[in-house]
Amino acid sequence: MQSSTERSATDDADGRRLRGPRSPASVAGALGLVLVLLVGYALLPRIALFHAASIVGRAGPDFSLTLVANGASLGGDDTAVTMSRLRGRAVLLDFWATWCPPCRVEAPIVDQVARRWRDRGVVVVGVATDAPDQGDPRAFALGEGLTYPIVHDMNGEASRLYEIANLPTLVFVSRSGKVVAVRVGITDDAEIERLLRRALD
Amino acid sequence: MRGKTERRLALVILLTAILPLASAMMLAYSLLNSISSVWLRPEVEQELERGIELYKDYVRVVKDDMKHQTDAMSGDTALREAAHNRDAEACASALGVLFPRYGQLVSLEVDDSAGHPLARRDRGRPLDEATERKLEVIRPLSTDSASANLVATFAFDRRYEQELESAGATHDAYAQLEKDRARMSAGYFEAFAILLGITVVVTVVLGFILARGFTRRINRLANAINRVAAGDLAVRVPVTGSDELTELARVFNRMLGEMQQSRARIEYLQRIGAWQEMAQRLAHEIKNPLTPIQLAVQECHQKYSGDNAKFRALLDTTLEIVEEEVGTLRRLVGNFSSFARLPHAELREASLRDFLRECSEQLGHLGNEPLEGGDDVVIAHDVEVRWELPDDPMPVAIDRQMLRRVLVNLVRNAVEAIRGARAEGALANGSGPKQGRVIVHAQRENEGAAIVVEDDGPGVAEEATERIFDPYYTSKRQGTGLGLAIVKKIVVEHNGAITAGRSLRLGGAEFAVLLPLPGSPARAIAPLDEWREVAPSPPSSRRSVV
Repeated sequence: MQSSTERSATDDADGRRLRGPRSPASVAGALGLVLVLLVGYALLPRIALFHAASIVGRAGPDFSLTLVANGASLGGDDTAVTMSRLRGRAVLLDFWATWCPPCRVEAPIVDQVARRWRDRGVVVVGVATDAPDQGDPRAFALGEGLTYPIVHDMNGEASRLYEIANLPTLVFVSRSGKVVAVRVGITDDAEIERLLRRALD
Repeated sequence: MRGKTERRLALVILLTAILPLASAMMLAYSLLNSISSVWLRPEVEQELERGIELYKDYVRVVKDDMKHQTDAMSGDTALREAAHNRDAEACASALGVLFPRYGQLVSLEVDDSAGHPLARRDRGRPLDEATERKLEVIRPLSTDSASANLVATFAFDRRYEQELESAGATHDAYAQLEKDRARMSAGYFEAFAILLGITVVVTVVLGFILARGFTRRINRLANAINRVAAGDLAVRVPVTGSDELTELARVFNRMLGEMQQSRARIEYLQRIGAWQEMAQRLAHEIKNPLTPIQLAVQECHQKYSGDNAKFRALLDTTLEIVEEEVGTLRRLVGNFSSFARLPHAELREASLRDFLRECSEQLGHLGNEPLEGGDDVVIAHDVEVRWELPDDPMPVAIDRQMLRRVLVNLVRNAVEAIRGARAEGALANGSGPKQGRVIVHAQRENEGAAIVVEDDGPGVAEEATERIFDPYYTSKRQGTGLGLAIVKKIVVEHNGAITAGRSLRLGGAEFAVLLPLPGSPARAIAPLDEWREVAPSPPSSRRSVV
């Protein structure tokens, strides 16, 4: 009598071992996996789309970078340029690099415009995107005879914030701090002045 | 579609993380199952239980045996008699007879009804608590109520007991194991599932971060390529990081630079081609009427037989003027057509040092001939032209004939500039400063070699450094503005570049002709071949077999 009940009990255990524990746990695991995959798949394109959107029309991100040349032309004795403190003035950000020949071509054009518009509430800031070992923006700016303030975006922070894909790139920021336009490649002075006028409106 | 790469990369990372983990999980799970199915068998449990029963039976038998022994002893008539009489001595002797018969006895005692011992016999050593267990059996020695009792104390080997205990423990543990088995494998599964979940989350996040950096940089390249495809070469890709994409960005930037250069080259050559064509037409249009004009005036001059001295003088003057101006025009036309018919450079590998030595020998010794002489003659009896030959052979790809013309033009330009300045200086204040040195030397540049011609003349005005190479631009009264245009055309055809500046050593002008290394031209010359209408074919030296 006793042995027969024992036998049936072990039989039960045997059956459980072969089928029992696997099904609920593995089904839950598989479901969780599918769920995570779906969530991941649904989430990633959204984030990707978010980062693909243009910054034109959005508020210009704030950054603060150390001045390396022509700081005096800003009218103060600051050692850094902070975007949020330039609110109220139209800002032209000129992203360039010392190793970039088209930037070298564009720099004098931007410089001329900067000279002409200095007294009309326009601040032109050159953002050198050179990595620390790539070049010396200060020497470059002085060598080219540039007169507008130059900051060094050594670790690419500003470039990332403004989603700079190519060089040279000009970013026009309005008085209220909104990005009005972005121009990639060499832009002529007429176009720069047209966009500056828009940034001042 | 944007974001596709991110998703793919995240998926790949996810799969590479999940597949081994999931298979490890399955493997561990099945391993656990097979191990437990080997170790946890119902037969094993039955065997264990049977063993325990066996032990229990054995212990029971031993205990029963002791009881039976005591029963037997209490039935001993001599003992019963002695106990009944409360005769201690008789009891002791009866015990003495009984005691040696039973080996497991520790002590044997007869107590009276009040429990006081009447007689006692023991084995001489006490019970060893470590290995033996006491088992006391008490039996009455008579049937009445105030009976004396026989107290038999046995030693029971503890070994059996311990084994029984351990067998019981094993069995219990086994039973527990059996009971826990299902729960245990479920627990393993849960642990793995949690691990899997964490891995999935981490890899998705990681994959996304990785992919974002990756695709952002690829998008930059794609942006730049789009602009280039639209014809704008004036963009560069920011060079960040230190991997294959960094290298790609660097190479792409270099490619853009080279494309810009070769585009500028093609544009220059096209422009100069247009100028050449114009020069050709101009030369043709001017040259044709020159002979009839000259002949007509000569005819007039010869045919006049009158004796009007004034008119004769007028005719003489007219003939003189016409012949001189026609001569000037002829020379101009000659210059034009030589510019127009400038051949294409056929580059051959040569040593720049040997070439310069050759030039210095051919051009340096013709000291006293007039400057206006031939195209190939440079003279300077009043200007010192020094050739500084390098020690380095400096291999370059050049067309000797044409590069010689470059040097002739540059040296002649320098000499003329010095002379012009001297003439003006002499006119202005009688005796100009001691001038008259031209130095030609060569030096290695980072991607080739440079021939430098410098002088101590007046130099080139800074705003003119670009324009002086344009055709028909001249600062000389008698110049055609073609000399430096020809120079630039030839240099560009050599895939080189020419710059004008101020000489640091002599204070005058400095012209530097940069020539690339012989390996590099093929790449740069390729677009030029398309522009050329007919590529000159090298003469065949092979004999045809009939």
